[in-house]
Amino acid sequence: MSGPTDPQANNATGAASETGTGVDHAHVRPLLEDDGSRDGPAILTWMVGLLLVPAGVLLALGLRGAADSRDPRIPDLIAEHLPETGVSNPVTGVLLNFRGYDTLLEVAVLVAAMVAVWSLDRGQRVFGLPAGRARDEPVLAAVLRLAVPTAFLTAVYLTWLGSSEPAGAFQAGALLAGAGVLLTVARVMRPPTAAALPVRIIAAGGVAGFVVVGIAVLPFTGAFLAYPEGWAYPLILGLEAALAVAVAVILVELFVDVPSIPAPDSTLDTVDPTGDPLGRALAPDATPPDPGAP
Amino acid sequence: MTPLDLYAWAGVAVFLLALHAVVTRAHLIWKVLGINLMGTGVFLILLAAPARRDPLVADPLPQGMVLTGIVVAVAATALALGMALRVMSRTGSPFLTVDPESADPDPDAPEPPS
Amino acid sequence: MTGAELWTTAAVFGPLLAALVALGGRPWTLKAGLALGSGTALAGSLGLWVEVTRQGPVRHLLGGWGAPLGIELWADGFSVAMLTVTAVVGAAVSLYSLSYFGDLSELDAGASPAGRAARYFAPLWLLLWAALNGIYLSADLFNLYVSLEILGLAAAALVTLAVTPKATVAGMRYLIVSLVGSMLFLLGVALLYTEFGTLSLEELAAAAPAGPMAAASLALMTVGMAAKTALFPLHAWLPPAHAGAPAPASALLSAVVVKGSFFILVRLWFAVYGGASDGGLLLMGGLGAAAILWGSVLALRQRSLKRVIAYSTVAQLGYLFIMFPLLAPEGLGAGGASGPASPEWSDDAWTGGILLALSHALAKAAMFMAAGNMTYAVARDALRDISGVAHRLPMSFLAFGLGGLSLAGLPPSAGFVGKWLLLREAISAGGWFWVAIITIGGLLTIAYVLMVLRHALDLKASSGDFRPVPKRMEWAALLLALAAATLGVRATETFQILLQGGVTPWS
Repeated sequence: MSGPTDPQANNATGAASETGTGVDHAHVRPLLEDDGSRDGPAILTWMVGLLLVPAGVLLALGLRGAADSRDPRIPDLIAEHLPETGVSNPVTGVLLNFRGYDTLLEVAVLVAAMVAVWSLDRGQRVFGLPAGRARDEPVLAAVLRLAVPTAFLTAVYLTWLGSSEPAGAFQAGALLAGAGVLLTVARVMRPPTAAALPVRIIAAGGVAGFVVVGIAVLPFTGAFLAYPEGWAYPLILGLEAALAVAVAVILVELFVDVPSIPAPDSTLDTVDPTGDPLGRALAPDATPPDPGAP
Repeated sequence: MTPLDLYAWAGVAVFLLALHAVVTRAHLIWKVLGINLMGTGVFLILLAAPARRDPLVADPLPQGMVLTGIVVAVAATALALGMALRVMSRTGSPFLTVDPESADPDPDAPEPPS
Repeated sequence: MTGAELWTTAAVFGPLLAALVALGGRPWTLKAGLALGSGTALAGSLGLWVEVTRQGPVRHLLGGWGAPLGIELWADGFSVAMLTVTAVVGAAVSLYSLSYFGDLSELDAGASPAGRAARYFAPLWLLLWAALNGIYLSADLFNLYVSLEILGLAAAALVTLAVTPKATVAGMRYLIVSLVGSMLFLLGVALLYTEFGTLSLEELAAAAPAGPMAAASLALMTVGMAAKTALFPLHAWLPPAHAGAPAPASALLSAVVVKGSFFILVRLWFAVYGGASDGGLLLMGGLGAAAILWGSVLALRQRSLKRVIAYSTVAQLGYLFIMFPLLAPEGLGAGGASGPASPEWSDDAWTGGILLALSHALAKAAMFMAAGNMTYAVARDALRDISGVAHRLPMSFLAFGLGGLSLAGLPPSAGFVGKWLLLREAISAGGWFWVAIITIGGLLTIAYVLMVLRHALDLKASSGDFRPVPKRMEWAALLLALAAATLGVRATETFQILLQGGVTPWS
């Protein structure tokens, strides 16, 4: 790119930043303080409040009077068809069979958020130590030795348990992500970078698994995600496993990849505010001679 | 009045208080947390309100919706916080400083009325 | 498996898979992803067009369950029309983006803002595309909410691909508005489920929602969706966001993304609520009228090219809401308001209004791409900086002009047919207020389009620096503009598809 490069740019993908000593957060604190002086005038605060109070009263009254007279009701329908779903926990049945499409899109939301966070330019990474330079603290090491394997084991158990009890891929994924975050914060594990292909593949695996299974069953059952008879349980279990790992990786990514705040003056002036939205200024030397110019 | 009514009303209260914060608070962290809390309010309503008709039969559908909603809220909050940090790094301010319809110093600002 | 299952699968899950391919981060994966997404979306929409023309609205019972237990994909003429125009615009913008973001082979060095944008535009846009198609095909309230969230997150991220502080702030504001809108929608969903015990739009329509809870949820969902559609007075986020984004993102956001929430509004108000109340329809129409005037006047006062077009979007979206009162029997606001007891929806207002939505998508995408070419060439965005650019970029100039022609409603554009139908309906119902608004809006449109063209033609002030614009970017803009300018000739086919299902497909 011919445009001016961001001074932080060389930190974004490579390991260069990770040899740094971390980020000086002194300039960040004022940004997080809020004395309320920028809020609107007090009269506005009160007026919005006065508008919302009657809305709340109306909603509360309405909720009290609400009555559903449908028949048969959805809980009865779910109970009736639960044996066909391949699982015995009704919530898992809803999430992975009746409304599997919603769950597919839900993982797609996670992927969208991850890609969106990747697309924000990053300053220095918050957790910037290279792997192998773990903090030399005996208590931390002992906790990690205890907590991380337990988390992994529990996650596997939760994934498997989801078909019959309140548990499942998302709970397991959150637990795995917790272990990942712990390892990252303790600087045992180098945070996975956006550029790492395995990260992308695993993160995409949840959605990809869903879509591939959905399309694969289409010729047999005539509907997307309609599991053939007898296949529901193994397919759901497989999907849950893929989901758990994908959710874990995505959550760790969301945690470690948010941009840290460089000192304000270091990035403010890197982009010509009136120019190309991508900051590709039209440098004079980059302009080829224009034969059509008068 | 049953406990489920209380949960649903608490949901309404949380939702509206959070909405109030989003509308009146200028600091981005307030806004992001407010949006997150609005979701929590809806989840409370979603779990309590349909259930109060027949408290003995748990309806798995709202539970599924809430589980999905929580994951969606996590994703949205993460992105919103990341973006808020980026606003801070780009503008040096934790507020949305550029008013969309007011004049700003750039040449592409609307011309003052003549 | 019938055509319905096959084509709906292609339309939604094709772009979704393509987004994962594009996530690969190599130049070839970006190209493959965009090609796969465009191909499946085009195939899906055309396949559905044929199916729906042949046998009326079709459905796909996902998971084999069907409502109310499962989720149904459901396509009527309205869905198909929106899918198709999204596919056409999306394919053109995808092509455009391959050149706009520069040399893709520099991606891996790409920690520069431009490299990052090149790398993440395709996956974000393909995710957004899948969500949009999902919205057009969804027949389930909660599913709409989840799709909306993908749409909102990806759309805000597309804005912040631009690195200027203004665009960053605009993207943040867009994200906040979008998320609050989703939350209001979700609360509406919760209320409806509490009251009616179903999430299926079709079952809700059969229950004919009425009463305080139904009204409250419609109000909540309407405010939420109106904010996302930038309906006046909730439009303030739109101009900085659409003007600040990189050109391909601007084109997509203005042309197709705001239509997603508009689609939901129309579905809710008419298909589910059967027109709701006369007062509500008049209010929506009134806000639309205000949007036309306010947006057009502010467009005239802008000094930056992309802000003119962005304010024009605010104005043109107003037309889509003028459709609301005109759809009602005999037209509302004309004195002859009859109750919605046995609604006879106006075919003229329906086909005219939706045709305007379609033609706006084509024209606005073309105009933003053309404007993108001009700002790409001079690396400046102010109107005075594009002086004389018409001589350097005649194709882009033509594309902008043709797009403006369609917006202003000159024949044979689709905009002309749409406005003419709305006018005819307004006149026959005696709604002279709407006639005046439509006419004044058209004149103001001509004024701001001419304002831009005048600057572009101004040779005397022509600036020196000029970056050559890849031909592909010029062609993409011109082809869409030609489509917008001539769609009016083929309006009959569009009418036929729009009447499959019509205003209230489930009644």
